[in-house]
Amino acid sequence: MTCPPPIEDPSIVARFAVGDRVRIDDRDPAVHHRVPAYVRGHVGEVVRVMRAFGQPELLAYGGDGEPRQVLYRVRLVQSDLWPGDAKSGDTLDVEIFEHWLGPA
Amino acid sequence: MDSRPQRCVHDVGGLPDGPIDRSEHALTFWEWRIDAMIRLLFKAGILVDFAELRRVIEDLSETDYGEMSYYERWSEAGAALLIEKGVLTRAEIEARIDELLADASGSVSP
Amino acid sequence: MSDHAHQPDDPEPATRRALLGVALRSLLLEKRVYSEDDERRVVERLEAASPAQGARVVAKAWTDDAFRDRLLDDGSAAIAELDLDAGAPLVVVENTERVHNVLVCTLCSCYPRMLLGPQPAWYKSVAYRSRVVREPRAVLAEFGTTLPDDTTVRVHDSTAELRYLVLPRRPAGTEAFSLRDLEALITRDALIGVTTVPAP
Repeated sequence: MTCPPPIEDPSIVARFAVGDRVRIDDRDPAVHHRVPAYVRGHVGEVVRVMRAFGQPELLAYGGDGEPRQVLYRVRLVQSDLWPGDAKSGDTLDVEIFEHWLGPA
Repeated sequence: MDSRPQRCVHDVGGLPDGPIDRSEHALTFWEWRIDAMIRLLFKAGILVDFAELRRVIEDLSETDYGEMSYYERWSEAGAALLIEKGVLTRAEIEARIDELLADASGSVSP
Repeated sequence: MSDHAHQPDDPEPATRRALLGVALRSLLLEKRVYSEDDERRVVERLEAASPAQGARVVAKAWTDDAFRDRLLDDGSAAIAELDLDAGAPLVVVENTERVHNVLVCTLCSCYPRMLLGPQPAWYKSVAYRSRVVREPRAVLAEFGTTLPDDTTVRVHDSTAELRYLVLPRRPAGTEAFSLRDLEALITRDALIGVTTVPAP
């Protein structure tokens, strides 16, 4: 119910692959989106490539969400996120859409 | 200027906070109904994507977000979207709440 | 109102804020956006979801290696074999001797409801959502879970379209257990990852 049905679209090609280092955009558009403040600007590793989903920035306002964006599971290192606080080796995985990622 | 602050009210990851209240609460009868209402609005095609609901919840003021229970936020969001989509008006919602309050205080309902 | 026949002991909403949902429901019923029968069916479906569904998935994975592999590869497809549907793409994360997983949704309260039932209040609380991403070990300790230093903690923030389920470690001493006995050991909190499944 919370996601559009899967549509296999051969025109959608994932830009990143498992193992790639990616940086999450450090921006805060004045619309609904799903990128928490605490991960913006941080670098992580792609651990899983999911399928494409509609963009929440558009779906939230009644739009169709197109063009859909590939969704990635990105693993961040806790000690990068919270210097001094975190136990080394602990990690944090988030789901980030392709239009929020760049190569790192 | 952005209409949204640097960190929106719902975006709490990493902020300092106190101990977690681990007490269990079963959902009340009315909470189940509000949950069902939102799902039925999807089924009716009035709501299309959960992102719409999240967007209006995120637009709540910090005070409202903090004070409201989870399902009060859902009701508030449902009302905002039903008004936005022209299904209900603010006036008829307020009038119905007035009637319910009058009922509850023992007056004769209109 | 005619609702009292079905009503347990819950108090009637009495404040303006609490009555908003009651008002919306009565207006939507009046306008025939949905019927009381529609509502009853949805509530019954929602109420039928409980941690028993998640426990079935885990007990099956503990006793069937091929199923466990399929579950970790594509959670939604694997649980469909058990006639279960998470309502969103499901990612299952496995606890091992070296890795412990814990789930959160910092932005709202995303949760595998069809496998676990309604979220506990603490899962939706700002305290849990804000703290578990920053100090997971302290939060786990509040739930009575202390992990060895050489165990990696993986926090999963459910930020977009996926739902998660933790596959806990099977406790020692359960080798002879039936599926039903195993299911009885598995708790909601272990499937969120704030606790582990203790040995019987």
